[in-house]
Amino acid sequence: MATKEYDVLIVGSGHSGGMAANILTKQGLSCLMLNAGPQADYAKDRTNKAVQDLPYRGFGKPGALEHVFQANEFNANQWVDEKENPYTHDPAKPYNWVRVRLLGGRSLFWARQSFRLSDLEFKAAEIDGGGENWPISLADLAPFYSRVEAIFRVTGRKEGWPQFPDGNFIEQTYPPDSKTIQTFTDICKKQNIGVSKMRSSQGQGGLASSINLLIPEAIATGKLDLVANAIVREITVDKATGKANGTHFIDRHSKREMHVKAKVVILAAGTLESTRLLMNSGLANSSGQLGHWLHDQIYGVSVVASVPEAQDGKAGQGLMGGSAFLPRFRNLTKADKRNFIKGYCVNIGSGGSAQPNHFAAYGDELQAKLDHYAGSCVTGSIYGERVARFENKVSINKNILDAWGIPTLHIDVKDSDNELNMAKDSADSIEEIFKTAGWEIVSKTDKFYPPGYSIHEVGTARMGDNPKTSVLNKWSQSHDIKNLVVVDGSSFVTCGWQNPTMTILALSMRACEHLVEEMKKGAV
Amino acid sequence: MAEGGRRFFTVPQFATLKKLGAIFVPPLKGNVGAVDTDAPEFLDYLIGVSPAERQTLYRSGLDGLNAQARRQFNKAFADLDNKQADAILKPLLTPVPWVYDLPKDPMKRFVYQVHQDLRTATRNSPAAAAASASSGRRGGAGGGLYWNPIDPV
Ligand SMILES: Cc1cc2nc3c(=O)[nH]c(=O)nc-3n(C[C@H](O)[C@H](O)[C@H](O)COP(=O)(O)OP(=O)(O)OC[C@H]3O[C@@H](n4cnc5c(N)ncnc54)[C@H](O)[C@@H]3O)c2cc1C
Repeated sequence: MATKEYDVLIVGSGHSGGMAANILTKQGLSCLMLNAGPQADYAKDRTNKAVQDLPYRGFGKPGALEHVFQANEFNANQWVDEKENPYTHDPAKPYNWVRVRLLGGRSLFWARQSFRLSDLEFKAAEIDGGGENWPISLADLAPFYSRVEAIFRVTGRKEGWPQFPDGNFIEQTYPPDSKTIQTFTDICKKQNIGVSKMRSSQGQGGLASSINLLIPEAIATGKLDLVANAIVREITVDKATGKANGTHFIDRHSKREMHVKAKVVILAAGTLESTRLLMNSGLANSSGQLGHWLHDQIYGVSVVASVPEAQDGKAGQGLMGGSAFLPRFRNLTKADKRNFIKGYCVNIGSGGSAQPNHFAAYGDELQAKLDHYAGSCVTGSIYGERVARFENKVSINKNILDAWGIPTLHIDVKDSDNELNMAKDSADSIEEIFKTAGWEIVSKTDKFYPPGYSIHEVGTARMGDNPKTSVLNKWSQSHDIKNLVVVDGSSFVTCGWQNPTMTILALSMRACEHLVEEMKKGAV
Repeated sequence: MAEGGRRFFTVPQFATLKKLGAIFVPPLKGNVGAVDTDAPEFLDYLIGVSPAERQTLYRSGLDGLNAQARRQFNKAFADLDNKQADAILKPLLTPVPWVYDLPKDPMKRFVYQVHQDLRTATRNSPAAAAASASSGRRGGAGGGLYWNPIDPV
């Protein structure tokens, strides 16, 4: 490996890196994939345990993984260790960076909600004046979305709504809606709010990961070498040509440093790791935009209501149960003027229960309340778009190094009134629908988690036609160095309310097919 | 693990915690309560290995309740009857619509936290699991797939 020059070196093995390996090896290119962490052995690394047998009774080890609210004592070892891999932020500006370094990255654990962006996002600047348009439109990406949806076996109900583009879905029949979901749907219809169903990747065997859907085919070509525990530290550049020619990487165990050569370098390390690598290499930033425009989605806003007929143990018999999904329904046109731009989606679940924290009560009194509401609740969980803003950025913190001596990231992100106003509108709008249904509001909050919590961080090497205002071109190549390609979420211009992975996969596929053409022409 | 006894809290703090266990999580509907499951002892261990902020929340909270009991009833919190304890605790209860937006007032925040922690420590205890197994009832907190440390450095 050390002496061989590969056609393409891919940093990272998650959705984006897996797609790159899949496309490029099938085109006959020799690829090397370096991944920072080990390969998990599902049989050996997981054990069935009862919660009472865990050292901390399910509370988790105190002080570990303070930024990963998704961590619990069962899954703690799957996440990146924050002591080995620290990052910093101002205490007043918290940021939750949620990382996985196992082979397959976050594709091992994602929740598989699968959406396309629409032209409301690709052409957002025309609608709301917030930020820039993408240099591509839905029409450019649609053929790639279709192929990705086929690989990931996405289910969904086709609606024909422009804000919620349909996809290449596998057929699914939905059971009849419960009475509460019907009531909710009828009220929404009267308010011109579209009600649909969740769209989701079925994958194979319950896993929709790079390690089962993308990388095996790449390995089968005989064209992929895969090295685990290889932490890329710096991209190297040929001084004569100015082109990327390989990377320095460090073996995770021995800490020995090595170099590998390649004609093209593809970064797929996840938005912030790819950005960190570019910054630590001092590359791809003639625009001064690298590391800026970091954004994701607001999570946490929710409303819980109880259906009176279902209280005191009378839930069931077609009354409760099932779910509904509301894609963005705010600011669909320029005429829809509110105190915030962009929009949010709502996930509705029927048949839940109230929680102890909802009540100022304990002992018998609390138990009586919990029994009264058990099974009678409908919950609306809201996810909204954060606006991409130049001020929300990352930079290199040379004073704090990770366990391998690599400078870490300082993250500097703050929400604006747009996020606060959107959150308030979303909680109010769902509360109003629940009240119209005659349901009792049990709990409502318009508060949301710190930035990063959604695990949908994007935007720090955004694409664009103008090299002065963007880091990548519309093919995800660096404007400065054409044989340096970034295929993860860093290229996003605006994230939308949609979970990003289908878009990351479609962009990676598109970028790699274009790269092959360029390499054939000798243009890269 | 200090299942068996107190190590972190002072004697009065621990007595207050035990009393809170008895009040907040009594044995209800045939389930075991916090005191039967050593939940206070487990929290003594857990808080003892927790970050300083959590330790301070607990210590000040327990001391605060004890001081209030002395002011109001001239007794230690642990010696109050249930009605007296209610008189102190009820004004400190707050509904928390969202668990990452906790009450700003430190006493209210402590009371919320210790209530939730006592519930979890009770539900997830070996004693609760044994009780639900021997009664043949469904319940107990259950389990899941635990990830071992994967190829640690
Ligand atoms: C619990 C959870 C639920 C989610 N739910 C959804 C959902 O429902 N829908 C959705 O669309 N998205 C969801 N996501 C987000 C989704 O997982 C990510 O968008 C997607 O997997 C990102 O893929 P990626 O390839 O860009 O990055 P990653 O999956 O992060 O992969 C990056 C890889 O790069 C490697 N790496 C990093 N740094 C280096 C380095 N210096 N050298 C070498 N290798 C490096 C890492 O080891 C890692 O394997 C969820 C994520 C999680 C964790």
